[in-house]
Amino acid sequence: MIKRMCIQAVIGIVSGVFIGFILSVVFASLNGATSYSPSAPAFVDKFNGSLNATIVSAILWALMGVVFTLGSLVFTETDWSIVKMTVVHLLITYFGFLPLAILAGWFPLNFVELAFFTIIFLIVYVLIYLICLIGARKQAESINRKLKQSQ
Amino acid sequence: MKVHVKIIDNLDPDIVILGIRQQNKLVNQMIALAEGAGQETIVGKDFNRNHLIPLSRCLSFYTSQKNVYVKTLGSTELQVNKRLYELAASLPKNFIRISNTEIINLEYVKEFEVSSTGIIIIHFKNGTQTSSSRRYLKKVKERLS
Repeated sequence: MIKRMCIQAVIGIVSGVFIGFILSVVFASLNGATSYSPSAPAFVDKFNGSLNATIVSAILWALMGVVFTLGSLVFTETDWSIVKMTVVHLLITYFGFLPLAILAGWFPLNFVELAFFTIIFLIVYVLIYLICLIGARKQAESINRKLKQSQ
Repeated sequence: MKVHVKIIDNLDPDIVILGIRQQNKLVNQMIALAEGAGQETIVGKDFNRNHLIPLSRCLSFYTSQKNVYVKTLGSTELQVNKRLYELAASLPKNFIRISNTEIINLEYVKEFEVSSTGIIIIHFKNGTQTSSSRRYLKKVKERLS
């Protein structure tokens, strides 16, 4: 299990930095910037140069990646009920990802933005729960049919 | 030990009568052997006595506090001297892994049910039940097809 977690953490670091970089390039282009910056100007301005801002951003992206890849183990390695899996995964990603996203300058720290983010987060997790539950019920039905045929 | 075989005409086809002076360890071994003859068996242990249990009477194998136990149709539970992953690899195809801690005999399963909280409940034909998790359902489905 610890070996598994280490492998997941490494995958998280690599994919986190990769996705963070792609997103930062996309948002920089969308904002009409002419030179690369790793995050919003307000974030970069806190550093004495864009190199330091990029290094700190990359570390935060890596940590975000680790949060998600370790969080996914909840779904692949445990025997928990779907509700427990969904709730634990929600708590891990909400309290793991949100502070990192705020530190990386992705959110202005105000109540409306946070509330909006939280509501979207909850809706997504309700959907995950429903999709998992419906999927499991379909599989159970199919198994029950096959059990009846074979007996 | 010398064996005298005596034919008893009106005896049930699957019964053997053992005439002994007194029950001892050797006799118990012979009983266990005779009970398991002609079918695949597994050794289960309770209070230092070994029993040969036919696999066809095994309902499930489960791990509890690093030990592995077999649960039989009669709901007796005996310790098995093998790890769960070894059993998963060596048991016949009707035995299937349903969680980190349990292997069940599909022949005695009545049905699978998914509760609204997303627990997969497995009902056995003898009225007992156990639980599985979502990630094992796919493997069970593949095994049955």
